[in-house]
Amino acid sequence: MNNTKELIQKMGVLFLNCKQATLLVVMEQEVKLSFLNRVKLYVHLNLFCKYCKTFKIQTTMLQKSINKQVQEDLTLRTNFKMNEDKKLHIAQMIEDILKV
Amino acid sequence: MSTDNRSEKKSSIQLNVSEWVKLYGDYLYNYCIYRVNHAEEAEDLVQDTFLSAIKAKDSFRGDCSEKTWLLTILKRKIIDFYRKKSIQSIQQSINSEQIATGYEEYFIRDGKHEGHWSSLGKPNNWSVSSSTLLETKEFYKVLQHCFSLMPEKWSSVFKMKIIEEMETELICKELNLNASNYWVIMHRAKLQLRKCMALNWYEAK
Repeated sequence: MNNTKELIQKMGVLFLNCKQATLLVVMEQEVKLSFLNRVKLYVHLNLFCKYCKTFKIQTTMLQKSINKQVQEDLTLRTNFKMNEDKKLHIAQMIEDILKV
Repeated sequence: MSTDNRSEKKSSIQLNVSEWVKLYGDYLYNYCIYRVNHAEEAEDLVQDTFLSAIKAKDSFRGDCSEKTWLLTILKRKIIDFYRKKSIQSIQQSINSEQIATGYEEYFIRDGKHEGHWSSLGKPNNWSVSSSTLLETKEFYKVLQHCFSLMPEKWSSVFKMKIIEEMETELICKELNLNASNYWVIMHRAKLQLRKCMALNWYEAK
């Protein structure tokens, strides 16, 4: 029937392949997707593709770990010291400049 | 005859230049080393910061602390460093064969199933017990390793996003990318990262 054919053709617009879907997953982690893209993505992840769904779960988990580690490092790793010789060298350079 | 102003205090804003290395050297170095991962590069950036600051000392208005001001200069240099690194990696990739590929290890390139996961690329489930190991030092070592495998351009974008917490638009401006470039980089970086972690941690025997 013509109506069904048209409907299926229109629905083609709703379908993503996995390369597109994974791109949207990555984008969604940072920005709000358009309504249409959110629908397309939902359909792909939940109705069609367990692999992309797995990708989403895994990248989300990894992103959380990365964020956590970065925050920890930034607050806890504060004890790096510059090489003493280098410090002396720089201090000397500064002194020479100031004398001029 | 003009008097020699250099020996006079020009204004009430005093910069403690000769004390800078002692007061702020380690502080600036520490800020830097985490972001550039390389002791010599970090030392050079700290040195450049002090030298630039001396040149610009007349522009110091005293509306923030000396320390903050020096840090601002350093931050600028770190972004320039990221940009330099990302340009270097473009040169590298132009020379290598990788430029034509990139998505092929994950997705089928053409035909009826274009854009679908390839059999080698598709994500496998990770067992629940692996996720409870998240907190270990070994996990983060593996993560670091996976990061080190990324082209500099991608890791520059990542660092600017996650460590520097820069807006996407600003990252694009600094690295001369358009939005599409940015998303392709993020896409490929996360695909690679996930796969690397799968191979080296979650599915490793």
